[in-house]
Amino acid sequence: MAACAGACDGCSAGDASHAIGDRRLDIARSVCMKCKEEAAVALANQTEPMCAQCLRSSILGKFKTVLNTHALVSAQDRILLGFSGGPSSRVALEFLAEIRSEALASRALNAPGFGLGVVFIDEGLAIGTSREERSRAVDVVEKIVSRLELPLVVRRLEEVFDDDNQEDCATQLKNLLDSVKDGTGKEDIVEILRMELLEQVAKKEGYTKLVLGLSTTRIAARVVSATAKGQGFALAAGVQYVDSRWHAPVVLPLRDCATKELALLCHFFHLETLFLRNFSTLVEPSASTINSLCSNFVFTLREDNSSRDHTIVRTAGKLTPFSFNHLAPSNGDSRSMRKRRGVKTELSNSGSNMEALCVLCRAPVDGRSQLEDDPRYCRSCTLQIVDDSKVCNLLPRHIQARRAGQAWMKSQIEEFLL
Amino acid sequence: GGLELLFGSVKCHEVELDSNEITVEKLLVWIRENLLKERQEMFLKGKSVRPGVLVLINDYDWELMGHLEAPIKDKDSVVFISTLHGG
Repeated sequence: MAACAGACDGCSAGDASHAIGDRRLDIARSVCMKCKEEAAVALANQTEPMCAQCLRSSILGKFKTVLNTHALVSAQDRILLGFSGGPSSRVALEFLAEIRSEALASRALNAPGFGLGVVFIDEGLAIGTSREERSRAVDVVEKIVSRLELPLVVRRLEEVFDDDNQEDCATQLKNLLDSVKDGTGKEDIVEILRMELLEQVAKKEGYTKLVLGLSTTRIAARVVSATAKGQGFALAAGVQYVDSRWHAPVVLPLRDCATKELALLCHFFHLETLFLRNFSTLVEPSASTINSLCSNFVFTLREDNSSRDHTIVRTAGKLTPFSFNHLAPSNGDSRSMRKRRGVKTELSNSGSNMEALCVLCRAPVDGRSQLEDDPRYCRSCTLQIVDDSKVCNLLPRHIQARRAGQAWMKSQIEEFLL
Repeated sequence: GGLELLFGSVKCHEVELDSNEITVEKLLVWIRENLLKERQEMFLKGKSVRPGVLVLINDYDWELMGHLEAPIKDKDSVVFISTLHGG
């Protein structure tokens, strides 16, 4: 029973404290529905009261299921984790390290564990963070990763400009961001450059897969914002477990986990996370970019019913995926071995992508609507980022040098072919 | 998750209230009046917290404890975690 520590102000001795005490007893009675032993501490999977340990097992279970079902990680892989410091990527880091340790210790597989490395992109220059804060952030990341004894690569976002001179890189990034007037466009270009840099790191360091800690909640927000930005044709591309448009295919093993559960996990198990500002930090909820509005919208939807972000992602997941949303079967894996392991094998066009991709955001481009626009960019990038040709010229050189996809070119001249 | 920015970058606050037994709702009112002088909409929305902010009382999710009606007593610890920057 609850006991008032001192004089209870405004509390009629028996009734109120008894009622509050009852509520506390109710909590104690709320037992984890999985183990039926420990007291439940949180509602997971929308409605299931769980203790911290079972919450962890539940999320780890989902993580492993995604990796196994889609054969996302094999012994030959070298996995690079994009670590932002936030709860989702912190959980991904913890689980990947654990799975790898288990694989190394396991003799049954008779294979060395997959390679695992971590990359942190310092976007401080773009956001306007002070040098001290940026340096402190890197220190925290180094501490977290070194405790897990994993290799870490730290890159500054401006390095995407691939110039030997750091000052020049910084200037080029500043100029590019200053030239993009639209707030949403700025956020989007930072994300695009981040992905470019992640790809560069993966390529340079020899990684075969890139894992990102995107949660259901974040993907749901992206679905809504992509819809608002008119990215209908490309919508299906970013909501699947796999995205092979990149040199190292991007894999999303936390796609089925809500941000709330991941944040709770970090809290209960003292997984240190790092808070980094972005453009929308400390901007009123009612204002600002399409991205932050959509993110706030998804969180608001979850208030009454915490399965709404799952519903959004499931609905978007029903859109026909593109050919690059599957992994080409690796040479080492035979069909029968995959079948034995219960791995989904998609009949994909192994080899070149059929779709033309925007040279900036890699969105598949709908050739029919591109007639008047620059063939290198999708509609959305054209309207929000490159509407000014000045911006085009400020993009990293290697992006400018990319040509329109072969497939698109062919589609333009198809009617003239004999 | 960055909420400390709204509270002078101090993560941990020890507070003393008049009553020894209150609800989360009353605590939020107290916070609005005493700790959070500006940018209230970043933390609060109406009577509750802004969507995306988790509330834990002694490490129990407030959803299991009655939400705004959840009781808080002396020496309890209440944790607010913002999940808006999910990462």
